[in-house]
Amino acid sequence: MTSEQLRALIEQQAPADLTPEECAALREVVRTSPELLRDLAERIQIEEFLTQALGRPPISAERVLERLARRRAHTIGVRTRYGLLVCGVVVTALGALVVTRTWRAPGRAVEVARHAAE
Amino acid sequence: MPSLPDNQTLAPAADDAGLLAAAQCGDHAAFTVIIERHAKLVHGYLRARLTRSADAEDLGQEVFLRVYTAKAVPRGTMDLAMRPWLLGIARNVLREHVRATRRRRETAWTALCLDVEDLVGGGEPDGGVFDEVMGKLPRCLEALGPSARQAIDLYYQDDLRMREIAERFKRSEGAVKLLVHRARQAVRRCLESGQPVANDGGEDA
Repeated sequence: MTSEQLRALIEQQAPADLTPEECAALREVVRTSPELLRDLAERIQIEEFLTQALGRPPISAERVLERLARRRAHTIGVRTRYGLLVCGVVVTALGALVVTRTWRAPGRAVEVARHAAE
Repeated sequence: MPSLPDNQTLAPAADDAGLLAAAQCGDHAAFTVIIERHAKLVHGYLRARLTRSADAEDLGQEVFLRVYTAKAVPRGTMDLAMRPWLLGIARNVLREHVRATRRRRETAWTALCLDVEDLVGGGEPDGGVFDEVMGKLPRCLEALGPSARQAIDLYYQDDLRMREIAERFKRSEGAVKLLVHRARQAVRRCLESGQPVANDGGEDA
């Protein structure tokens, strides 16, 4: 696509209608074309101004605080799971240590019993 | 974290620094005032750079969540200083969104917008520009022809796609794109010159 075609594209297409390939072509050419860069910057700016003036921002304190509560609950859940995992590993390791220290092979037990009888 | 005396809330006229401190101490009303004051700025910034309105809503909430939990707040957070700070947070949120989203179709435009910001300097816009533009825009919009104004409202206010607007207008999608394009150009010329530009927005297109 030529620079002129790309300039026409950004003037007339809605951002949502641009394909990834068109955006990729714009990203490549915008680095070397000051005109295209200016056009794109102006297009983004007018989109921003019109949305700021006319848009209805769907943001409220309640929803932000709900999001915070969900995130904290998730973080606590993750920490709890991590803590349980660490506890599990420690208990297993301690158990294994106790067993290896106290366990005697059957042959050794018989030998000990024989010595005791003698 | 400092705390406010019991039952004390800040009046809506308080400056952003006071409101932010109060909000972070749990003053729900103060947080609501901050959002009411700056939601349009943040939402407009994000919506212009995202192709899906649901993403703009989601990331807008994320920006204000970060404001609420911010440990480092810029000094002198009066209105004009608060805006660049908010837009800086919004820009970081956008960058993270592009990195985290694998669906290239939905982030290609956002990545392009971030590139453009980097290339033109990426500096936070002067907070005063927002007030100036918001002061001029109503007159510029009033000067548009009825179809152009309606199309602009449906696109920017009601968040409809061009295809949906075309269905309402019973016109082709191309004709509606041209109508919106001409209306946008008229608004831009009006903002630059300060004078409303008589424009029918291509009513006959």
